Amino acid sequence: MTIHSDLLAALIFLAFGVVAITIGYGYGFGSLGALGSGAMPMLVGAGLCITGVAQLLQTAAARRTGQQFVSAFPTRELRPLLLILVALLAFGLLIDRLGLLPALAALVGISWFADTGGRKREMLAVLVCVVALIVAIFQFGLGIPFRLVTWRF
Amino acid sequence: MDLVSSLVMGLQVAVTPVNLLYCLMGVTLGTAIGVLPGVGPIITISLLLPLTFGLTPEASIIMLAGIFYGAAYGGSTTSILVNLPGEASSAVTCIDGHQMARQGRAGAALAVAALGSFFAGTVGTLIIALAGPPLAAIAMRFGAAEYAALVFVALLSTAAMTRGGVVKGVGVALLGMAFGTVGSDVSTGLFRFTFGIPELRDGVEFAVLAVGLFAVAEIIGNIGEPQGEAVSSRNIGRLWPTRDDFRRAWPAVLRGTGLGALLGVLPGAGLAMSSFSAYMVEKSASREPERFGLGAVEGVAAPESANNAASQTAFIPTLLLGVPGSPTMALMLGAFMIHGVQPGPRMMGDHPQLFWGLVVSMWVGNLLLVVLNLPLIGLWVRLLRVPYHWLYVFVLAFACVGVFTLSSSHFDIYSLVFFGLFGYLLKAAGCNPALFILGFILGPMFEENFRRAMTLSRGDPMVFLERPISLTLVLIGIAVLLATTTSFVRRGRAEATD
Repeated sequence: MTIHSDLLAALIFLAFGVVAITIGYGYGFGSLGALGSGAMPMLVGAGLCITGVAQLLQTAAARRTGQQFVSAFPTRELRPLLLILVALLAFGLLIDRLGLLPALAALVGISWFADTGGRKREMLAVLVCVVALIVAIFQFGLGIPFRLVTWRF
Repeated sequence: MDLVSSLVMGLQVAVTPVNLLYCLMGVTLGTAIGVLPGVGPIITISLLLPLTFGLTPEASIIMLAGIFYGAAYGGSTTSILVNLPGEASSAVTCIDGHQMARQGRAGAALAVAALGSFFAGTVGTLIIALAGPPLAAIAMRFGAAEYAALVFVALLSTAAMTRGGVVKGVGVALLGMAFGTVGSDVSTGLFRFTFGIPELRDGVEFAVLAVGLFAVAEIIGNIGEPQGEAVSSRNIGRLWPTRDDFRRAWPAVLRGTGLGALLGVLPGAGLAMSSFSAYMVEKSASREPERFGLGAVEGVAAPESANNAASQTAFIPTLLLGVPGSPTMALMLGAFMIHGVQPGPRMMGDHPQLFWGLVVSMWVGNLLLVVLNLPLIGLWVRLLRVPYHWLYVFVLAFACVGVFTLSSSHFDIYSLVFFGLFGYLLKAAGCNPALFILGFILGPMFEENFRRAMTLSRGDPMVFLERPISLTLVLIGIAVLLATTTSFVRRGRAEATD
């Protein structure tokens, strides 16, 4: 079964709805005159479950009419998705330990390949521009101190 | 305080060199953003949110507002010159604007758009200044029940008006509300949904959420899309419109301004809706409707003034009631809250400098736009040739560093990864992430007022139907929901967003 966008929406609503209700239950609903901390999460969770079910019913109705669905995750989007998230993670891992320069280098170096057709020589030019602009804006413009290169493990 | 002295005070705030500089930066950046394909005002405002922590509230709000209406302006330039609307709101301008450009009258089209927008901006600013005090006086009488009902209507009508269907719209808004409950509960101090992570005790960081949902998720989606062709600048022609252009354009500007100003106030209608409706009204009011689509100057003047008027009056619910009518306004509201300013009926009394400074700076910003936009057209067109590769790498680097400077903690970067992925999933599911932001901002307001109203009524939910203002609001919400099923709105929405 392909996961198309309508089904994905229904699944997201249901998943978060169930989580909100189960965890919210632990916070206590309180009474109508004195709603507790759990009241809002449970009401919102219930709303999410209702919209999730409504979305499922809509999808089922559309399926019966023989409508064709396309997958919500086209394969051409997987490469940018993975590479960009990995690039951000690398930045987060490196910024404290090695400093701003290596973190930005990793970010640019990984995310450059998220899109096809980028030349490697151009990547270096972009890296230099990005570092120069970031340092100009944040360090000189806003006065936020950065360690450009450091070593802390 | 009377209107004139308020405006004079606002002028004093708006023309201080620092604020004037940030206003200039905002409108320039906004115009550039409006021109650049694939980078809209929502992305830009969310990217710049982390930077505004260091500025004064006046400077940062003035700059962000400048970006907002500057982008509406920049979008029209590319619509006319290269038939590429930067924003949904300027899609209609393409129809006649680009035809005028092909006839060698791009200069006249741009000038009509600029002058019409300036006129509409002036009227919009005046409306805010005039409507402010009486509206705030009414809103001061709002109790908890009215506020809860108001938030409910704002959320419901925005959800109903968004592309993708009512069910998805409501679902995404609810998701946003669910994320809004993370952190300590205001009434009891209990930590909710923190999962033992100390960074979550103050709730999800708004700036990180916005950057992740818009900048990161947007880039992931855009890379997958096939890119458009590079464009060449063409002959712009004479800038000053002819006497005949003026004669035809001014009634269109008036009608567009009126319609835009009205639609801008309504939650959910938005800029795209206002420019589209203005074009339709102009076409049906015209004695020669066959000229539309062939380079009619009214077809440029009406939608351009409508969307600029709407982008001004959209501040009315945000500033005076504290209820943002659109996702971009929700971001602006987030920016206010970062500075500890709660927009709402009390804002005018508590922060008069900020309120009137912002109102006047909008007018100053519109003036700057007219002065800036026309001579710099060549530069804006050149921006279209920036390769997307360069653009997205820079946006990512900017997003990471900006988010990191919030609290110098890599937890924020990991949340950024989370919200990037989450935003991608929302997009894949056909849900509008902007509605998520609206739910996130309005959720806590709704919870606080809803709980208070229920306590005051000793647990009787009828309180929302017994009080006249609250009853009216609830009825409006239901009416909007029903109205979205009628054909006119559905057709208008489909064509406006396509």
